[in-house]
Amino acid sequence: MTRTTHKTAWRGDDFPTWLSPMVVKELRQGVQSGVFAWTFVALQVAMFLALSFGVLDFDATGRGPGTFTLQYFFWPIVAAAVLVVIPLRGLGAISAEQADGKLDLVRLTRLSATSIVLGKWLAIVAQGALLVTAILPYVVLRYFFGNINVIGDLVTIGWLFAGSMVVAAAAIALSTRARGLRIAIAVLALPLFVSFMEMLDNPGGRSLMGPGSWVGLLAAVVLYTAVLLEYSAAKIAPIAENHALRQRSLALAIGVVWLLVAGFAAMPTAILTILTTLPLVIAFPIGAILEQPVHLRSQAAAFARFGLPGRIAARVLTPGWATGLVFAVMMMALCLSAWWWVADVRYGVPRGETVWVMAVGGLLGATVVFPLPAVVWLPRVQNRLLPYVLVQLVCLLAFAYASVMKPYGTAWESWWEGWMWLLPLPLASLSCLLTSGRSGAMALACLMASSAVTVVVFLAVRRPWLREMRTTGQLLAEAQASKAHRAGAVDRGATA
Amino acid sequence: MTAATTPPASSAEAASAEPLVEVTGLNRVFDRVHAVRDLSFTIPRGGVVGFIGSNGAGKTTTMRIMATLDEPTSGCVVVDGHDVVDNPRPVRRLVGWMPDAFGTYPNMTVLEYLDFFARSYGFGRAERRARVEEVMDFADLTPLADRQMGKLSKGMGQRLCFGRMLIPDPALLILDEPAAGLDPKARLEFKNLVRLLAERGKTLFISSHILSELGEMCDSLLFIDDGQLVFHGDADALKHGTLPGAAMAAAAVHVVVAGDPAPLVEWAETSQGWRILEVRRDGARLESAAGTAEALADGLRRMVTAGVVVVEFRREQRRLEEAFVDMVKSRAT
Repeated sequence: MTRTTHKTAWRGDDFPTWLSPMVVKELRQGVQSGVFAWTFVALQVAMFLALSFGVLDFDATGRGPGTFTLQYFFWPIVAAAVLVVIPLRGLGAISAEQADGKLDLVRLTRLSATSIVLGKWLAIVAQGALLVTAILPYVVLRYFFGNINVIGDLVTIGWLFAGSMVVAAAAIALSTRARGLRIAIAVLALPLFVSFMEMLDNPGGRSLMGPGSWVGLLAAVVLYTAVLLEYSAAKIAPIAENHALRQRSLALAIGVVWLLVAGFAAMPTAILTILTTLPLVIAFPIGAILEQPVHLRSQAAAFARFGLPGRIAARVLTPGWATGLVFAVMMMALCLSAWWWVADVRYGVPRGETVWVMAVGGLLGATVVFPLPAVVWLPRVQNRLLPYVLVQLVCLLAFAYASVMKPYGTAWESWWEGWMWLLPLPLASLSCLLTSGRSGAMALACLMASSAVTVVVFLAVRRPWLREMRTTGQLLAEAQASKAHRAGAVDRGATA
Repeated sequence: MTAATTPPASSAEAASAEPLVEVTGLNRVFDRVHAVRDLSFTIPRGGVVGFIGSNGAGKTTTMRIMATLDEPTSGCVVVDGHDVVDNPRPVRRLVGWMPDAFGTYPNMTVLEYLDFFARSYGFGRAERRARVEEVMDFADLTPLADRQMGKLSKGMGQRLCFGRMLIPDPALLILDEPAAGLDPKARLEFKNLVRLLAERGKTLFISSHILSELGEMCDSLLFIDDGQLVFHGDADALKHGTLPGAAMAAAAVHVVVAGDPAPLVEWAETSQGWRILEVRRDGARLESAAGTAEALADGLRRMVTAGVVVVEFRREQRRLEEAFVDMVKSRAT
């Protein structure tokens, strides 16, 4: 082994020690990368050109450039850079590191899965912030050409930046999934981006993001970002880390918020809150019932030390589909209560309409748990999402078939004859109910069917469910006994 | 307080006598592939243990489970008293992991890379600098400090990966095919690094397909085939063929005599437990059925008593590759 006396100057203090190591690494790597540099340069060039053309336009027409050139070029360029190019770099955040084993090396350090994911997200957001800062001079310059609301534009840029945070979190979450799924979702998201662009081009649309709804929107940005980052962290964490605890606690908190806003908030706020968080309220229970069973002493011990409340909580908050089912039922109960409160008590809708609203809620719940038997009875399938999605696809195909056989516009009695066979398929029934008007009789039938389907699902999985819950109980009892044993040993030691 | 922080000498001795790693009934199934089957072994504290097996034998899977990077389908791995699945955090503090393929961050320099890991292991400013400089010095990375990772050769990359692994000063180092793809000079350097670490009391668990190198470096060897353990013992026993079981007991001996080899051939033909493998111009290759040191010494004594003028009597060492192939063959039959 050749030993050298050559010493190099220490250059490891370019970032402070308190800064997250992941942020340091991502910034060292990211800012030096071609994507960021080229985006930065391209944005500057595009801004300069847009401004130059705007000046020429101003001279020729005398109407001012804000009406055409700046308005129509400025926002798409800014949005593409801030909302697409930089945040979508997150699409490879986890997968690229997983592919050649780099992530394994990072996972073995003291960094938790959450801090790894958070660091990656912060670095992308920081690069987005650098871009936003770089375009601010152009925003101010546009003001001098007239017909520009600088404050409004700054607010819009602020929202674009907030949107970029969520898109970056979503991209990182997607990067934990298979490549095909990533591409599919990115392609599906493209129309959303285009419609968002159209909204930005429309001053009326931009006013939707005005100060009136900023608190709610900001809360939604924070919530969705947190949920997406937590999802990503759970994907790379060791199974001993109980991410079900965090996710389900958050979901139950959302359920409680639903109840609170249903009971006490103004109606528009309540409905906005419910609609904004509805995707999460559906996604969390689906995620929970798709979890592989995990029985670890360390996780049981974490609950057992809180005595009886801990043991009860463990049956909801430890990972695995069995406790996930208990959690899903709790979520269903919370959300249907809030749903009913808003519809029947606060909004005072007629009885038939209330039944319709409850039927929609019940069918949503039944839809979530309906594929569970297929998932549980196929334990060898690694990706449990696959049978789940297949069952739901069958339901949708059945609905499509029924729609073709009994097209819209026929009397509801005919509809009844046409889609009664769909009642055991909750997603198909839900689709029918949402597209066929608000008939009370249909809604009642759907409500009853959704209850029956939910009961049948529980009966179908009761044996493995009981087995899983018993194992959880045994682990908790062992943890409790071990705790008591240790306490006894300490007591004996003290006495001695 | 003192009693809690300073265990009595006897318990410390007992702890050091316990194996560092205990693998019990380990199984890992990927879809329909049974990568590891009922694998059980222990690794003592200190020393170098070689892990040998053909491609797809389950080496990397086993090592990844030991390093808390994968979960077993059944069975358990305990490192210093901590289960790798149930309690991975303390295990990760003990383990250094060097994968067979080393992914790089092309835009980062060697120094930035090591600094990132030092930060990730929670070292403060001064300590971080000290650790990085120490590791760079140990792995001879100092001249490469400002070199971008994308521009490192395979050998330099392996040294960097090795240095990265040493930053937290782990007690157990798990190295998966560390010498693969290295040129002879880099291999020699790597062997020296392993020797230095072993001298410092580290436990090294190394897999490699270059069996002869492992034989020189390792205190003990584990052979794995088709996910199952086929041998666990020291390299000398394997090379000398002094292993339990008839298939491994025989020993080949190279005998050189002065003059005509006929007396030697005559002796071998008439001596029980000996047979001729090959007659040469200056002697013969013989095989002792017993193969023990005592049987060989007795054979030499009887040979000399019978009037054979023995100039050289040397027990032939099998190469590890041959031993491995024999073992796999005998398992198959």
